Amino acid sequence: MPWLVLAMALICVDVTAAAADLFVVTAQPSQLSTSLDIQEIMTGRTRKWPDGTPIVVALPSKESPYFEDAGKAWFDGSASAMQRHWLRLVFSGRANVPIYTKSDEEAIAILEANPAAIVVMGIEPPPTFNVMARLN
Amino acid sequence: MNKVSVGLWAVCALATSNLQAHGLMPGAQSQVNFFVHADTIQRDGETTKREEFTLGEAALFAATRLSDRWSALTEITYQPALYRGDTVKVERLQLRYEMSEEQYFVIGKVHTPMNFWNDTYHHGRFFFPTISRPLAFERFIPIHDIGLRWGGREMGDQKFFFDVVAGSGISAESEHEFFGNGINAGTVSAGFYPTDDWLLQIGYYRDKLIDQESLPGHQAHMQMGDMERVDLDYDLWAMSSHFENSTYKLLTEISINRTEDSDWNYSVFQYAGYKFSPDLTAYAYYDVTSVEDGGIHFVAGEESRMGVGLSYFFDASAVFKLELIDHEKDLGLSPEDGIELRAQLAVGF
Repeated sequence: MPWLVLAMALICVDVTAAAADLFVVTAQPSQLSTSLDIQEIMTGRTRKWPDGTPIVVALPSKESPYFEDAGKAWFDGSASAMQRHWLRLVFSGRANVPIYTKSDEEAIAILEANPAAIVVMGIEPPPTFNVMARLN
Repeated sequence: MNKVSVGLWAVCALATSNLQAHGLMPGAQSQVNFFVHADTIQRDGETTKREEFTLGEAALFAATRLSDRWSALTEITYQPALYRGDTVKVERLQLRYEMSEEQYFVIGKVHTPMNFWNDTYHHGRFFFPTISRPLAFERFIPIHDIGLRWGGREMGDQKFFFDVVAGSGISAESEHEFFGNGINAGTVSAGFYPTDDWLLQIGYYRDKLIDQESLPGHQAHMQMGDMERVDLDYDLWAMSSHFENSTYKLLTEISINRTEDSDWNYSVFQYAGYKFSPDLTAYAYYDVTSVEDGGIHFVAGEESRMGVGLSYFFDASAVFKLELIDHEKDLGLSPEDGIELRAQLAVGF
């Protein structure tokens, strides 16, 4: 009954593409970082880690495959609103310029260069870094 | 407006839009942006050619983080001579030093932190919730000062903040003589967040208006012969309340002021907006300035605008605003009343 075997295989195998996960990653120790609200960090309302270190926010750039996902996650579904929000914060002098990343490799490089950074990636990071949140 | 002006603007727009091709500059902690806008007004009475189409000031904005503690910011505007005498103006030029996680010093030309609007929106109409600034900025509230600013942010659970500015004042800026008359003005403001979405702020400004008749805020009075130069003390109080979440935006700006020879004058700006989406907002506002006895500096009278409007962001770069306004101006000898339809296209690269 090859057709039955084939049918069962199709049922058991998930043929739909898995929705991409978004990882919010930092080099900060988990006991320091997981107490913070990620929405507050991504919108610039929380600007310091619990030890007082200024948070360096790295957002997906327009070239990044996660640009739209970041907007959906933290800016009412609009990546344009994310750009405008940060542009207004920087323009008013209320926040420093955020970093923008095009790829997971760039995000990891920023984490390695700056322990106070928080980045958004599409892949699980190396175990030396701390995943603050995983969003689907 | 000549071809050179158009060319300059086009070059700035193309240059910064190329730099900003993917939103904001990736990687480096510097940012360069270009903002420009165009307005049109239609009145139920007579509309001048200039009002039918006005090219607004173009603003070039640059911010950079120099080190962990030092950063710099500048904002330069350009508007053709058709619209204003000073075609190029340095609106902000600041060097900032982070003393600690919460406190900072700024030296240079700043927006006075008198109220929420002036400390937030600056010259980029792209960010304004309405087409124009509140009327209080045309008469009462100084937009700029040059001096030293000490401030603090994010202090405590209620995110208390404060600013203190020692500056050269309105007179120095109007004469382009920075500190030519020494330190004449002081600003103190403070506020906090009762909730994450709600800000309350109060500010006080004190200045000596040197040769008040020559200042831009002075409104001409009927006078016989030449008046002696008169210097006036000026006091200004302001209060702001700003609430914004994903659905609503409410902004209240109230001020009272007087010169040493006048009664208290006041202004009120009340804005209420409803966001259908992050890109589309419907809003209404009421804006009034009132002088009963302005002494020798302010003309007595009242000006008000009551309007309804729509704001639509095309994407991260452009916004279109449309307003229907009941504008009443009863100042001096030329009262104006009428309905206006105003539209503005503002872009930011």
